[in-house]
Amino acid sequence: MAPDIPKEAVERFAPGLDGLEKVFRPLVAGIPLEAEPAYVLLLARERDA
Amino acid sequence: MTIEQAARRLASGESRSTDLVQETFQAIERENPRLNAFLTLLADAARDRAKALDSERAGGKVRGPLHGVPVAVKDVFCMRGVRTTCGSKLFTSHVPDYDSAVVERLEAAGAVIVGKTTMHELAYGVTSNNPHFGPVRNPWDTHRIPGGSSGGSGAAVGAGVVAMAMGSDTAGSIRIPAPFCGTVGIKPTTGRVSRYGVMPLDFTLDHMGPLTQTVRDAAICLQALAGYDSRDDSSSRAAVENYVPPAEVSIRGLRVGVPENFYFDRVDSEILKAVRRTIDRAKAMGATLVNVRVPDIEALNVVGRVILLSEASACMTPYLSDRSQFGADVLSLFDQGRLVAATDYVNAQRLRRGFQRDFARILEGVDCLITPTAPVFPAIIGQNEVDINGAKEDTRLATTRFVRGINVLGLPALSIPCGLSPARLPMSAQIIGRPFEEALLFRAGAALEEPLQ
Repeated sequence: MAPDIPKEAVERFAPGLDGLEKVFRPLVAGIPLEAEPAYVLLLARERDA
Repeated sequence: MTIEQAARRLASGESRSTDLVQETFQAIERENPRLNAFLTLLADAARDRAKALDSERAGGKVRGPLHGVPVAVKDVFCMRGVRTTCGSKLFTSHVPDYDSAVVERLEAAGAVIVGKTTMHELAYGVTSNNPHFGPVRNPWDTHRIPGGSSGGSGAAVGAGVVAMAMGSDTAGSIRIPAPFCGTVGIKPTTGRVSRYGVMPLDFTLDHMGPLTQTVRDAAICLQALAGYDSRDDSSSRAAVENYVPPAEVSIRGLRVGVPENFYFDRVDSEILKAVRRTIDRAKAMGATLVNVRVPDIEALNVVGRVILLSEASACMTPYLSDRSQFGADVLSLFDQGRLVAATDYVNAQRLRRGFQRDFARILEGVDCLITPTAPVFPAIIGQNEVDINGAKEDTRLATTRFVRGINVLGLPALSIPCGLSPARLPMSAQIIGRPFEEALLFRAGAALEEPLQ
């Protein structure tokens, strides 16, 4: 399932994604186990109920 | 000319729709060579439609304030029999056989679509410097970008060529050209305006809305556009309020949240002063200012970037095998999106829910938040960095900093002009509200906007 993109693109963009990871990883570590995803329809369903 | 001014001219008999269409094409002929705001013109169709709408009016049928008014739509909205490129080389011959819901609703309201506007390639960027169709230029300074991705729409409205042009907004693509071109722009609540027939960038974050010269015009347009559409699974059945504010609008008693963190950091000093003036005016008009502490917006923006990188790349996967079809900037984003792990995407969606709850709590204590829309002035075309009080920052990250997170939350946000800088560049404030409370945003915006011309 690895993405079929050129190796040089992987090497080039890894640092950029690492930049995201610095903020993202600690956030993920704090997600409670019972938290569900927020689907696109969440706002509408809550308001329409 | 605004929509309201055009409607008055039409109602009084001073002009016919055919006259307005004629004037619009004269303005396009004058302005488009310098702005590149229009990608496709629909001269014959617009003239025919204007004639038919004039006949309707003569027969006593007036559909509403948009009846006979020339408008434009970004080239992301499918239109039957009209090339719809999404600003991409991939779709230069793409001619849909159906209308998007936005086009249907505008036409049902009597608007005359005069053309499709130029945009950032695939709506995936903020410069509208399109490698296939040329750069769109800012009407206030043609050396500068108009913002994006709805850059042609911003330029067309900012130059006064049309009273309204439709945009789409995934990470600020209405609320970046709006401040850069000196227009009003609204990103409505998720589900408020149908996405049926819009070429997608991101399923979670895409929103559709108008760019106009005044807040009242934006309200008139959203009134025509809003409402449930069974063809769009994200469409809401929430009731559509009366959006158009009264002529004498009051914001007395409105509780305005003023973020004490993030939204006033790293902002150009002129823009900061202008937005502070707008907040002071709100207080002078009887609003109550409430200092609020917002969650970590840098983190919210990262959540938005993970979702956008993942969904946009998923969306374009069938096309990515031929890399020659893409400009370098969008191709790099598509490559990055394919490197994001599926687990990270799922967790970004879980984090989104937490941020939505945090903001819902903040918006229990205030009616809206006011922030700058863009912290910077538009970059010079071709420059990847902008200057903020002497410090350099990446153009894309700087211009999306205050707007991207609002798409993640799904909240409505209105950008209003709040003055011109000493260098005669527009500056804007953003008003963020609770879900489906666009009417409140229009009321506040109508009270606080400062027309630039």
